[in-house]
Amino acid sequence: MLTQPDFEKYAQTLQETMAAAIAEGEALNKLAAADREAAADVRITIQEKLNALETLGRQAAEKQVHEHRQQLKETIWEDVLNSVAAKLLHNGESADDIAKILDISERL
Amino acid sequence: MMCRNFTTKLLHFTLLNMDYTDQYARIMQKMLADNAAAAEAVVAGARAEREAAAGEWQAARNQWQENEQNAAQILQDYTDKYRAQFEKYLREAITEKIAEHMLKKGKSVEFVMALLSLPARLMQTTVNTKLPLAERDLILEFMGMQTVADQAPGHRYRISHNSIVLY
Repeated sequence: MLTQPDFEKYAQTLQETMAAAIAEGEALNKLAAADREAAADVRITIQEKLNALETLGRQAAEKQVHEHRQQLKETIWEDVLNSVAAKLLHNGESADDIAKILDISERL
Repeated sequence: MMCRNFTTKLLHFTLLNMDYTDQYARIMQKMLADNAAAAEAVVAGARAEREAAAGEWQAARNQWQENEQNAAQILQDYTDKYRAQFEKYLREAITEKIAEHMLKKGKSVEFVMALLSLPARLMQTTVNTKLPLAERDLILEFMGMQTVADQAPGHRYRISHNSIVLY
């Protein structure tokens, strides 16, 4: 006579195995969610700090420009004029013509 | 730990049921093994997720630490960036001013554009309006910077031909 399988025990084993796995999986998922939340918080802090540094950097740049505005403009004017004069010279304009073309009395 | 647990259960089940018919035993052992594998896959997936999340957290902390250590350099970089941006616009404004002057001196638009490498859009506006456009970009630039600083810190702006776009 054949022995009947213990279906109840079998089903219980299956259930317990999967239940244990799901419980462990859920616990790990909670830890993962906590880690992701912590990472997001850190990223927000980083961005806030970067924003603050950017604002400070912009203000410092504005201050520098304001304090040396005239000198800065003169330097750039001379630089641009020299560059244009060199190009005009290269294009065959005479030195006198270049002087007339670039004689700009009204500057920024 | 999970693996040992599954194996133990499978072994117990097998030993306790040695008198089953071979057919029953094989079917049940296979189902138990499949079940154990599925359970392990659930845990393995969750573990991988957790490790990835822990990695994200660690990376964020590392970035924060790095930024803290380099705060002075970051500040300097931002300062240099805005200063360079201002100088760039000032240079462009001066170039436009020179372009206006050369046009008044009778040079052709094509000649001036080619000589000064001016963008066609700026050149067209300069020729059409004859306004003191050399200062226009500077003004718009300051408006953009100021608006971002006052109303939308952390955002950026872009100057288009008819608007300042914050993004």
